[in-house]
Amino acid sequence: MAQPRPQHRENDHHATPMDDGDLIEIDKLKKYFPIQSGFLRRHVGDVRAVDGVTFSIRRGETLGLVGESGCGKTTTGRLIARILEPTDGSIRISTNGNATDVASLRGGALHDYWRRVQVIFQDPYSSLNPRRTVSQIIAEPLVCLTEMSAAERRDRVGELLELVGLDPRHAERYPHAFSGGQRQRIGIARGIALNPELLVADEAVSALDVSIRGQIINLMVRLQRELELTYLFVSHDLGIVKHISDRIAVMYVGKLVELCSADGMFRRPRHPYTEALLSAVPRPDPKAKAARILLPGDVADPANKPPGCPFHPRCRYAQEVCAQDEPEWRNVGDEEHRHLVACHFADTLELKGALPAETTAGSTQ
Amino acid sequence: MSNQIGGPDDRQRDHQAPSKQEPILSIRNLHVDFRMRNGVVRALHGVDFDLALGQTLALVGESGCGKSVTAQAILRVIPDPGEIRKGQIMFRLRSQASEPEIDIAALPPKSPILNEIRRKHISLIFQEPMTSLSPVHTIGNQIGEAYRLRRSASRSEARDRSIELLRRVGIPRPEQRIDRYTFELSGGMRQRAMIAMALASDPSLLIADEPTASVDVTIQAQILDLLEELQQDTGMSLIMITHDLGVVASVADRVAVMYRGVVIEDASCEELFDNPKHPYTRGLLSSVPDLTTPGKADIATIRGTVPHPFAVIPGCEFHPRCDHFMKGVCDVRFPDETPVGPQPNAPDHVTRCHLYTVEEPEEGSDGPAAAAAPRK
Repeated sequence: MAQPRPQHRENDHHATPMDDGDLIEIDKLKKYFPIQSGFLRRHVGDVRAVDGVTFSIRRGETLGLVGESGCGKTTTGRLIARILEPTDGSIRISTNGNATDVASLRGGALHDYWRRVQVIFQDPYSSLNPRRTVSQIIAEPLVCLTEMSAAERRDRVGELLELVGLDPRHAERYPHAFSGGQRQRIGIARGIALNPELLVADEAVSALDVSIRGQIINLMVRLQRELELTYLFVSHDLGIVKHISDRIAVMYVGKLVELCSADGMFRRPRHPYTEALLSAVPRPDPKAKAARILLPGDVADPANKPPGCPFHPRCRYAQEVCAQDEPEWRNVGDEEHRHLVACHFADTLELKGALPAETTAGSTQ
Repeated sequence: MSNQIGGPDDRQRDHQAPSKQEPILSIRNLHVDFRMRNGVVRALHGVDFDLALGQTLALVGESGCGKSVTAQAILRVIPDPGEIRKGQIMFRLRSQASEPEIDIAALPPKSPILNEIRRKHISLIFQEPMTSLSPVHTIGNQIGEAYRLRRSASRSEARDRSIELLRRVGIPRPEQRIDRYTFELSGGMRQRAMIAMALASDPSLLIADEPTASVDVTIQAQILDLLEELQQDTGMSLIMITHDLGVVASVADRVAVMYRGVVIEDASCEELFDNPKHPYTRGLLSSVPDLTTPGKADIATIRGTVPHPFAVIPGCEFHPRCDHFMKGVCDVRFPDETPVGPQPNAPDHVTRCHLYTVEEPEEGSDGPAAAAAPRK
């Protein structure tokens, strides 16, 4: 069923060893969008959408990336998929134990990378071309990035449709004939057409109805098991992220504020922003009218960030140091169960999670 | 089990006896059709519910179930080619308690009473603030206009009142913000400005159509708290249209679950979450992943998808997707509204499902036979 993964072209990029088990390593990744103004379109500033994030994605895991709109989570996903080119920092992918830097890839080498990393988009309505049939849509990456013959492609499309739970006989229909959930299945089929290693799912289920959302999540979990996929699951829905993720990373205005196991985060968050985020998730239980922590004010402007910790103007634990020094991104768990956080007071604060804190902090399993 | 409700909250106690309270809005057998070129979409066919003064009713359902059309019908702003085919929308003007209820569905489209209802009594807020706010007027102008439609007031009075309203909805420095245009405000601020505009006419009923679907969770928490607070201050009734069961649980007193143009279950919020009866409601509730379940277990789902709007389904609308489908019953007869609450005969928990009616096929089946129908 699954075809062998394509052989990776030997390329001349510097090959350095990578941590075992890591598929992608991201170091101080930055993406600035310039703000231009006036007749001469002078460069007057930058929207610092992603402002130095460092993390890794392990092979076979689901890493959830959460945050509010404008925090840079989508931009991070697109940088990793190399739809966008980073301003600074490195993205390295493990190739047979060696690291390849993908931030600077061009041409054929970039095509190789795209064979390994694919994206599923949020809106199943706008991400499928209405003038092309389902088989053309799904075959697109095969046409662009492989040398398959038409017959091979046809077989592969049929196989993929079956894999995502659609009827292969519907391959010649157009997207309008399908419901939202079915369209998202088409998007997933396109995403896995090249048998990639990493799938960046950008709000892949946010536009779907509750009953359909469950079907798509179940499909994604099944495909992950069967095809040994790694997911970067970008979403603002913490309930869904908790369900699907092994580890969760929280972003705030271009920076990561916390990264640890999903369970650890829900039981014992270490960053005040995570705590507020968890408390704000409405629970489908009328008795759980939890005390929501209301954050004063709005998300900071990524073009004009407050000094020090970007969260300090809204943080109820903020002290003087928070307005001056930017907190370091550090590990407060142990070596095995890393719990990364960027807060000056991560060690002293006792924060409340959405679940009772019965296990020790930072535990992975 | 008894209908005990833990909270000491007064509002929660009110809806235990909804029959004693005069409903401000009462919808009966509402049918709305959209006559398209290639068929008729029966957007609503037989919607019933009551809303008491000061109560929050959540209309829940998936896209296309008719929850927004219900809201549009109440204000008589159904887009073409939709029209009310039959049914009643009885609305009581709070100020004139002695006056009889007005049937909004029967008013002629240009009737002055209808305009007055829209101007003074019922306000609507939308998911996307930019659809109801003008991009070329300052927010102060827009809120002031809504206020001056309600009563004769000078511009400066309206301006003062607008600043007050902006402060009320939690916009900092309202004296400055009032002269801003909508594009200068963030998403959460726009949502607040829209709420301020809706409140300018001091309505007795506020309909909020997915008011938090496009904002982030932290902003959502702010908006939900704000709506709750405003409701307590003004005593207005609130219809909250949403697909998010988390939002329902945190704000609603009463919940009406809709599926394909029909209210299939109607109960108090606690009762609905504790004791859902209709297979669709149960399916919806169980398809929200529980935070406590260890990761990646299969989420329970409802099989299939919502049928195409043109499709005419005989009998119960849900039967093609239902796990309790009974051949010869569910696909033949449209289920009646059946009381299934803790107290037999009391209409505080009703559902439309043959699982609870099949024992006694006559209409209005009541008594222990129906109440004792299969309970899972």
